[in-house]
Amino acid sequence: MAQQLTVFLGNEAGRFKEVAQTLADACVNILSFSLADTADYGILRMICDDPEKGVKALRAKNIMARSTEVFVVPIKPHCATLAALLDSIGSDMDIAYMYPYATQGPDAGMVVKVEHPEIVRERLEKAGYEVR
Amino acid sequence: MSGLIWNKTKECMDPEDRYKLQSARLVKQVKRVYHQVPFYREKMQERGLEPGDIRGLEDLEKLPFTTKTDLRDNYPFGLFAVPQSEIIRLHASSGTTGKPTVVGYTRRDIACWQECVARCLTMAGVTTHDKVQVSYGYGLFTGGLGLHYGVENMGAMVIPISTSRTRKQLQLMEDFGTTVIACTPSYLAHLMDGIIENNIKDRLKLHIAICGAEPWTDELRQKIQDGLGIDLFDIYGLSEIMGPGVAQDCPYHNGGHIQDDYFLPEILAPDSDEVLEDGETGELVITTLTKEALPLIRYRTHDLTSLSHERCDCGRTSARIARFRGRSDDMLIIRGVNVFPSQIEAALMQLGESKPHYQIILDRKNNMDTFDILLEVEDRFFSDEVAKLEQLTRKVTRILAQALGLNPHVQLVEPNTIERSTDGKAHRVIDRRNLYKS
Repeated sequence: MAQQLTVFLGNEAGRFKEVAQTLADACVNILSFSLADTADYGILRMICDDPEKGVKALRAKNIMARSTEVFVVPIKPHCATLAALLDSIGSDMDIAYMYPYATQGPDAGMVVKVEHPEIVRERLEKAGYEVR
Repeated sequence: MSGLIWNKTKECMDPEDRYKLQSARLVKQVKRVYHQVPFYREKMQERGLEPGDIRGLEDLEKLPFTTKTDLRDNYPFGLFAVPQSEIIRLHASSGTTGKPTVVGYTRRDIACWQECVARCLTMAGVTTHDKVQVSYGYGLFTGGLGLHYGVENMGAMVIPISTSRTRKQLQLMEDFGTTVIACTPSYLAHLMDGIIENNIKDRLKLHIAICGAEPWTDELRQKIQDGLGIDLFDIYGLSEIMGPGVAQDCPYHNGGHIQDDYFLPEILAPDSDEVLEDGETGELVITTLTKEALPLIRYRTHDLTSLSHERCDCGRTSARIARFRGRSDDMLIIRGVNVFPSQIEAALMQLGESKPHYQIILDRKNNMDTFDILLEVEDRFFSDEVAKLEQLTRKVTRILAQALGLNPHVQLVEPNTIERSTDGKAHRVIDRRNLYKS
């Protein structure tokens, strides 16, 4: 499974920037990210080239970070692929969240966190997806 | 503007007669507790005291103090001085470790309470022609029922709406022609906002408010007085002693008249426990002179104030307490509910084995108390899923609501963001309300 770098962002000005700067200083490359926002805090989820290094660098600065297992599912960059992917996962599976890894080019794919990863992996592979 | 007086014989008693009455009642009360309550007997014996050693008020200082801890240690009925068959009602307030403080009343205790509230209402100018909307909570809390029976006793009309939605409060206030409201001052301020917002002020007949259960500032009193054109009265009481009606200010607003034929006040120096003179600020200590079910000898209220025994312009000769200067312990009053920080800490321990880092932030927005708990997101709480973090905040809210009877707003913050003092301990309470500002 792919490792996602997950960070808790308190509702304070400049927090996002500090996280980005810390990763920049540690030369961790962010390949894709999504930011879940609530009224009081945010959760930053990132696919990086070196998530463990990112966790270390952030924790050294007292920023709450950890790596989380997610799927990266490559998809073809054309019409109806999202619907097809969701169909393969099955509507009986809880999807905690999902965001695009890339929408165009050879890297096109989705980052997916589900409740039952083993079952979903099996279903996706059966449907012909090369799950990372 | 002296106004009506409910019980002129008692309220305007000659100071010498008052002293004699208080002395006689004290002697009798000490005898009763010595013989009826093992706790008091042991405490007096420890000091080598016998009931005969207390011959009048001049011997009051010889008696031991009673504290909230004593009430808790004797939970629920250990300090009662009458058989349970003579108790006709119980009230309770939240305690520091989850166990409430239980107060019992005999028929005569209830009658005394009704008398005290009737005196306070009359002092505020309430008559039998008034309609009193009691918007305090009814139940174990003393506010609702205490006011309710006092209003009935004095013969005004009572509207027992209790705590309900603001819209309903305003609707009945308008439809029934409410002339007096009894509620916490912050709730009245909230109602005022609703009255102004809905532009119904001219349709209301409100002219008096009886406010209590929490400290408030002169600014707030002035603001409501100007905004609604009504007179506000500060009613004082604590459930351990009785409930609302222990003291209240008269139309001269020159301190709260203590019903001191029933409740004997003293002021103690906070550091030495030495009894202070009139005008000196310290902790208010009350001895109940006539209470049958739960007599309290020199009960420490932890409220900081001073006394005056000067005759008031209204004609009353009872002792008066000045505006409260604060607390001599760390108790917080949030939306009229008494809360000890230790209760919050004990509740949060339910989250796991170690103590979470948290901070209590109290403020006033639109005249209502805001109650925020900041909780640092530690490893054990953190999740990449919003739903799981929301589960955590809901759980904390539920735990605290159960422990305190109050719903806080739980806000998750990053680790190490709550300010810590030099010894590493977090500043647990930030109270921005300035309630004791004069």
